[in-house]
Amino acid sequence: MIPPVPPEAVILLAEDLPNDVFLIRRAVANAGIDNPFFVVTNGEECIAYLHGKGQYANRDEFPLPDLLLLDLKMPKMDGFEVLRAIRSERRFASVRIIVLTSSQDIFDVNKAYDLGANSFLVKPHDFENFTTMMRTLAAFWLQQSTRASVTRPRGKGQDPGETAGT
Amino acid sequence: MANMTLPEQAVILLAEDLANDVVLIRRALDKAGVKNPLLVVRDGEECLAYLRGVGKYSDRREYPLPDILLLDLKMPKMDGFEVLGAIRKEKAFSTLRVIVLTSSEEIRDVNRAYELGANSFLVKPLEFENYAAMMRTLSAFWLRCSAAPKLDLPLEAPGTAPTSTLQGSQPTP
Repeated sequence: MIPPVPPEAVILLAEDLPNDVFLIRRAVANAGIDNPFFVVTNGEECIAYLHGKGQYANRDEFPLPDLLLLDLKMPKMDGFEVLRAIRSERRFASVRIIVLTSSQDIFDVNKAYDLGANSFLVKPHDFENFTTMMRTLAAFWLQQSTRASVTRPRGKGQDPGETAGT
Repeated sequence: MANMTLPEQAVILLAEDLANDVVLIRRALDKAGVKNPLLVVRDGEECLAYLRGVGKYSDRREYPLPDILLLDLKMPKMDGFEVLGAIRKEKAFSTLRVIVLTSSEEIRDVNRAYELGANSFLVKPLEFENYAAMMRTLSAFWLRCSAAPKLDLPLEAPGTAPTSTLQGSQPTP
C-alpha cells in the first residue's frame, strides 16, 4: 500500500535565550527550511508541549515534533532533565532529539548521547556558520534520514504507525 | 567549527553481510570524497566482537573503536536489532553513534530501530548517484558538523569541573 504523502516534519526548538532563538530562526530561514517551527523557552514548557498540556492542548495548533532542537542550559528544567524525561516515555522514542548548545564540554557530549540524544551540535560563533549548520542539519535530518512515525491523533489524516516520511 | 578538527580521521565501522552492498557503499563513500578509515564486519556477532575487542579484534590499533557505526538490519547470526539492543545495554557503548543503513522501508523497522536507540535511520538508495549524495550528507553532518562523544572517557566528570575539550580539538598550549 502506498502511504499518503507525509506531512512536513515539525521542528520544535527549546531555547531560553531570545537572542539565540532569533539567530536560529534566521539561520533556519536562510538555510531555506520552511518546515513548521515552534519554540518553547524552558524545559518544563518543552515537556508540557510534548504532553499537550495547558496552552499546548490543541495538537492541530501544536503538533508533536519530529525533530527537537534542545538547548542544555535552560531555567526550571535543563536539557539533560528533558532528555531523561522524554526517553523514559516509550511514546516519544520516535522524537529525534538534537542537542544545540554552546557547551563544548566532552562530558556534556557524552552525557547527552548516553541519555539518548540522537545528535549533538555546538552553536557556532558566527551567523554564516549557523546557517551552514542548519543547511547541513536539514540535508541530513529532513531529506536523508527516515523519520519514525509520530503519533498525531488529530493530524492531517495521518494514520499513526503506518506512514513515514523521508 | 568548534568540534573535531580532524574529522577525516574518524573511523567508520560498517556492519553489512552483502558483499555487493559493501562494494557499493565503499564506492559511494569514495565518490563522496569521504576518505575516512572504513572497517567492515559481515554479521552481527562479528560486529559485537569488533566493538568489544575480542578474538581477532583485540588489537585496538588495528581495529580502533569506531566514531560511527553503519548498521545493516538483515544480517545472519545476529540481526541489526539484536546488535542495537546489545550495544545499548553496555555502558561502554551507550554513546556510540549508530546509523541504521538498510533496504527496509517498513515503518515498523524504523520505529523499532529508534526505540532501541539508533541515532538515525537511512534507507539504502536504489541508484548509485543517490548513494553518493547520501554518503556526502552523512559525512557533512556526522563527521564535520555534529560533536562526537569519546567512548573511552567515563560518563561523569571526575570531581571538579572538567577541562577536557572535544575529541580531536587541539588543546591550547
